[in-house]
Order: sequence, then structure tokens, then C-alpha cells
Amino acid sequence: MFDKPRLSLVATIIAMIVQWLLAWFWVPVDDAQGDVYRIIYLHVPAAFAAFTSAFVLAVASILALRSPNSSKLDLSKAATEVGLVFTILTLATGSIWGKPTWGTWWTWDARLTTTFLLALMYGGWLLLHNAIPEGPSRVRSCSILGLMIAVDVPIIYKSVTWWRTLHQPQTILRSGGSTMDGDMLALLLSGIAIMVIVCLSMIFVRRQNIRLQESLEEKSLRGVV
Amino acid sequence: MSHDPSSLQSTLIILRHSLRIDIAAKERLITPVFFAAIILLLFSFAIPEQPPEIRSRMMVAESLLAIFFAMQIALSRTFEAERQDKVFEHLRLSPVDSTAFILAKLLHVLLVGSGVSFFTLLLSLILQGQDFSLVTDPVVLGGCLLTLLGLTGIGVLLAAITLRADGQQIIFPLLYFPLSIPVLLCASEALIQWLDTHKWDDTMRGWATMLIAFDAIYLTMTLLLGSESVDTDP
Amino acid sequence: MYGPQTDPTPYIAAAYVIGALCTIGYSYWLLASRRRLERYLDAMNKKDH
Repeated sequence: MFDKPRLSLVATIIAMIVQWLLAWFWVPVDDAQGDVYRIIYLHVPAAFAAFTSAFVLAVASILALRSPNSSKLDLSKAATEVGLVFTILTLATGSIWGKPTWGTWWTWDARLTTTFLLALMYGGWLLLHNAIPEGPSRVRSCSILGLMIAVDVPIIYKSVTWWRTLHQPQTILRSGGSTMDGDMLALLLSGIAIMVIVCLSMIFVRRQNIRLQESLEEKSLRGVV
Repeated sequence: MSHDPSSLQSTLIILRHSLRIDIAAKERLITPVFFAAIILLLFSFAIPEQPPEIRSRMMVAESLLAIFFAMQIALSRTFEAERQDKVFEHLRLSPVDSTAFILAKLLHVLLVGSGVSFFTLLLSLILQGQDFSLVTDPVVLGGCLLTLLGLTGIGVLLAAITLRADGQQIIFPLLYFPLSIPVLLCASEALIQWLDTHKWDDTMRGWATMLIAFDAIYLTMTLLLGSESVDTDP
Repeated sequence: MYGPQTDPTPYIAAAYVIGALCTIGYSYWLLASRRRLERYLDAMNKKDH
């Protein structure tokens, strides 16, 4: 009844809920931030999922640019939509976490600015996709913008090491090892892995939906003609 | 026997042609300058009199925003002449390299933008009662030039990719504004830091490095990918 | 800034509610859309035959 992407989506959502329960009730409290730090188990995986979408968008864009006359943008569109959802989630959870820890909902430091930029670019991609009629021109234009979005992702990630900012320094991938407690790190890493698979499953289910919709439109057009 | 022009020659020919169009239709040069002046005027009404110690910061912020909006006018019309005369269809038949075409457009917008920026900076100095020596400050000039490079790079690429979009006048700014944010942020932070301290310290270096990095990324992507957009079937 | 007097519960609750909407809510919409589209396709195929 359920194909692989849908099965994967349901299974990983269940795994994600289990991970959240562990984040609320099992993992120890942080010395510096207390309980509010538990938002990290949602915020950081969401950020990684947003980056994963950008990577899928980059790959889909490169493939589409190689043969724009025969390519479609269904994978790019799916990756962009899912990426937008996760980027908004990253910004919202980051903002909520920022208020009790930094005393402000928002500040224009490097990482926050470039994450906000990523959200706007995902939105811009969808607007551009709707504005250009279907054809090689749309494939090329949207694919170029897709590559630009992918370029922004490493800048977001490296921005913390390049400049000292208000944002927390890198916790996981830093020289000298992580600063986190073992249990916390294990739960965070598993959360990242689960969320990345949730993201990929969402992309592929959405892509199938887009294709189904397109074939329905084609059939109904043929019926009218 | 015809002699196909080299890429450099093609670039210069297209650049000369674009500048001639601007000089012939003077409103293409005047409109961005006029718009920048209006923006500066609006700021003077919207923002009350500031204490002398923060006037230089206000000058930087207002100048950069005025340049940004003026460039948006100039950039959204980058390919207007070519679109009207079906030049892109002719380009596909001619031996002109599309990368040379994009490079010519980049240089064209840079030249026009330099004029607009210089005028905007001067007017801003006058309106904020600042010292004219700021115009000859190499760091201020360098910061404005790097800002212009970044805005031009991303603007020309977006003008190319929105060429065939419905409602291009709306889609272009919707993409241009967010992608220009890093350039504006770095430029304003670096220039304000310089005007406050006149010291080339780590913070200054950080913002300047980020600005140069974005310029390099945007210009490279424009040169590599811009030609794909103008080379396409409608 | 954060201190022992700050109750973290509303912040954690708000973050995870938004998380649930984005992940579980969006997934539900994807699966529901798929069922709807498959029903339309079946109906269309039946109509053709």
C-alpha cells in the first residue's frame, strides 16, 4: 500500500517523536542554560535538514542545467518547498531559544542573517518558478538560482568560525572535540540523522505528488482537447 | 572573408554600444541619479536631526541604501534594449560569445553605477554636513566600490534569469533585495567601524573579508551562469 | 537573560509545537494530498475505460 518514500516518512516521523520524548525526559539538564537548552534537539536538526534540502536542490539544478530542454523541475521544486519549511522552523526555534538566552528575539549577526537570507531565497525560487512559463528558459533560470542558494549554505555554516558573533560557537564539528556531554551529543547526532532522513523522505514524497499532479493535468488537458 | 571578433573585442563593442544607448536616451542615466536624490531627501524628512557624533553613521547608511535602490532601477533595465529589439535571437545566430556579452553588461552597469554612487555620496555628505575629505578617503571609496561590485554582480545575474519572467519588474526586486543583504550589511558595518575608529582591526578585517567573499562569489557565478540565461530558447 | 527565575516551559512548548506543525503537519498534508491525487487518477482512468 505504501511505497518506500512514504514508508520512510512515516517511520522517521515516529523515530523523531521518540527522539523528542528522550530530549524532554531522558537527557540531563544543561549547567549553563537549564532546561531551555532542550530546544537544541529541534533547532540544530532542523538547520541540518534545511542544508540537506539545499544540497538536493544543488544536485537537481546541476542535473537540470546539463539538459534543460528535456529536464523538469519537480525534484528542485520539492527540495525548495521542503527546504523553506525547515528554514522557517530553524529561524522560529532559534528565535524562541534566543529570547531567554540572549535576551533578544533577533539580531543581525552573520549566521542569523544568512539563514534568513536562505529562507528568502527559497521563497524567491518558488516565485520565479511560478513567474516563468514552462520550458527550457524556466529550467535554466530556476536551476541557476538553485545553485546560488546552495552556495549560501556553506557560508552560513562557516560564518561562526570566520567571525566572532553572538551565535553559539560550533558545538559538534570543532577541532579538539565536542563540548557536549556524551548523552547529549549522542541524542543530538541521532536527531540530526533522523531529521535529515525525514527531510529526504518529504522531498521524495513531494516530488511524487508533483509528478502525479502533472500527469493528472496532462490527462485532463487531453480529455478537453 | 569575415573576421570573428575575439571575446575581448566583443565585450568592448557591446560595452560601447550599451553606453551609446544610455547617452542617446539620457533618461536611462538620469533616472537612477534622480531616484537616489529622492531617497536621500525622503530620509531627511523621515529621520530627525541627529547629534553630530552619529551623523557619519547616518551618512553611510543613507548613502548605501540610496545607491542600492538607484542600482535596482538601473539593473532591472540592464537588458531592456536587447529585449525590445529581439537582440537575443540575433545573438544566437551571431559569433558573439555570450560570456563576453555578460561581461560587457557587468562593466556597463559598473560604469553607470560608479557615477550614480559618486553623486549619491557627494549629495549625502552635503545633506549630512560632513567633511568632503571623506570622498577622498581610500577606505570609504574602496568600501563603496566593493559594494557596487557585489550589487552589480548579483543584479546582472538576476536581471538575466528574470529576463523571461512574467512581472519581471516585481520578481527582480523580490530576488535582488534578499541577495543584496549580505553585501549591504558587510559594507555598512565596515564603513561605520572605519568612520568610528579609523583603525584596521580584526572586526574591520572580518567584515571586509566577508564583503570581498560575497563579491567574488556573485561575480564568478554571474560570469559562469549568466551566459546560460541569455543563451536560452524562449 | 536566562536565569533561575525564567520559566523555560513556554519557550520549549512553543518551539516544539512549531516543530510538530512543520514536520508532522506537513507530512500529514503530503500523505493526504497523495491519497487525494491517487483517487483522482483512478477516477480519471475509470472514465477513460
